[in-house]
Amino acid sequence: MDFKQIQELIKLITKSNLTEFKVEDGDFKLSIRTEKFAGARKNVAQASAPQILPVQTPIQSIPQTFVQQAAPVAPEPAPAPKKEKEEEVDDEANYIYVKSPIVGTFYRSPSPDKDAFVKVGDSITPKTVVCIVEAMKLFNEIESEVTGKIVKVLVDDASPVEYDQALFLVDPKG
Amino acid sequence: MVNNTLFVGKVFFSEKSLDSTNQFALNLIAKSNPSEGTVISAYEQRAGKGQYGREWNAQAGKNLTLSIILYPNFLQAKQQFLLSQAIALGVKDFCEQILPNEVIKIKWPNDLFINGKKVGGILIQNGLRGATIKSAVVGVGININQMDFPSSIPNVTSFQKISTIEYNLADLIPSFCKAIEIRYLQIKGKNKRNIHNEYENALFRKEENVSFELKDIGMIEGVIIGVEETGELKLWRNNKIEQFNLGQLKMKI
Repeated sequence: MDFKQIQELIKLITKSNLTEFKVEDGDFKLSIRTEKFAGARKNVAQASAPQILPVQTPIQSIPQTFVQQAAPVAPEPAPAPKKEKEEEVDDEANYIYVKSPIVGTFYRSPSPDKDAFVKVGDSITPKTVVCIVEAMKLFNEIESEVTGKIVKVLVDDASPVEYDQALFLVDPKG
Repeated sequence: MVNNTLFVGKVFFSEKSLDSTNQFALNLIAKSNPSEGTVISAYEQRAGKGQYGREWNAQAGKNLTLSIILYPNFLQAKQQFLLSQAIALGVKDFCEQILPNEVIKIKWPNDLFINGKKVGGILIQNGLRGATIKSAVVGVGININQMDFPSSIPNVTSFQKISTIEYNLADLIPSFCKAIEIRYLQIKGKNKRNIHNEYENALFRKEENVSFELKDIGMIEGVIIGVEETGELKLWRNNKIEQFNLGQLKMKI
């Protein structure tokens, strides 16, 4: 299974109602659990990408290249001990979103050679430009309507977004 | 300053050399409160903007390269294609005034074509907060006196190439501003539907069978019949109407 196929799988699983998916092929093993599996609240589950959880069994047998390639898809570190994980979920319930006001293509930077408008950990206020959404050659700089700290970027650069789709996860206490 | 308009061009920045007139306009908005209709024109644009990162190269002093600051807060963010349509019609009106005997069309979504060749382009940069359009910077580039173009850009023309007349750029600016203002006031008023219809009627190769390159699929053919209000191109294909987004489709001229 190559990186592309894994990406496709993740897309399919995100769209489905599956909570968990496992595949084995020789000594390659992959297990994907969605937020729904973790029993997260509905509003969080809707917007978040699935997490890839490493399987407990022979991780060493997964080719090194795969592990590196998969990193951008699953920027989350390996799951923390159970207790902390629960606290994190509790926190997420209090998180808010920056959403897309239009259908279009999401860009994180003003142009391909420039730095991203915002990154994880940045503080934003209702005047901060957080991204561009382009539609029909109209380029829209999206200002945040909320105050807080960026916890997660929910959409990949240059990918299509729907109306009202969550773009950033924001901690209002941050 | 322009005298024949209500607000477009009343405040006028005529700059010798800028990275891009749009960027200058965006900086003005960020730092001050420029009045609606403020126009920025540059003799030379060092890094003119096309579609996301694509450059629009114009020889210094040969062409109209300007940006207009507007506040179309009467439009919802999802209605923004109407602004693009109005500006494209405004630029078309202007071209028709100067070159009344030529066939001037809008290539979807907003390039200007004269006799089947590209003469100008539009780049709009909106500032959105929630569903409201706070500001719009409308950048327009029109080839006027440029005679030579890089061979990498085929199918391009200029006013002078068509008419063999050399134009004084400053003399063209008032009628350009007026043409844009008239169309803008139409979408601000009650003529929104007319703008949509006029735009559709002005579409390059409308009602013709046209070849397109469809992303991930390959070559397709379809008859251009119009656009959705949000801008998607409507093609008659396989005995039904199909809609396409800009990212999906590339017209083969």
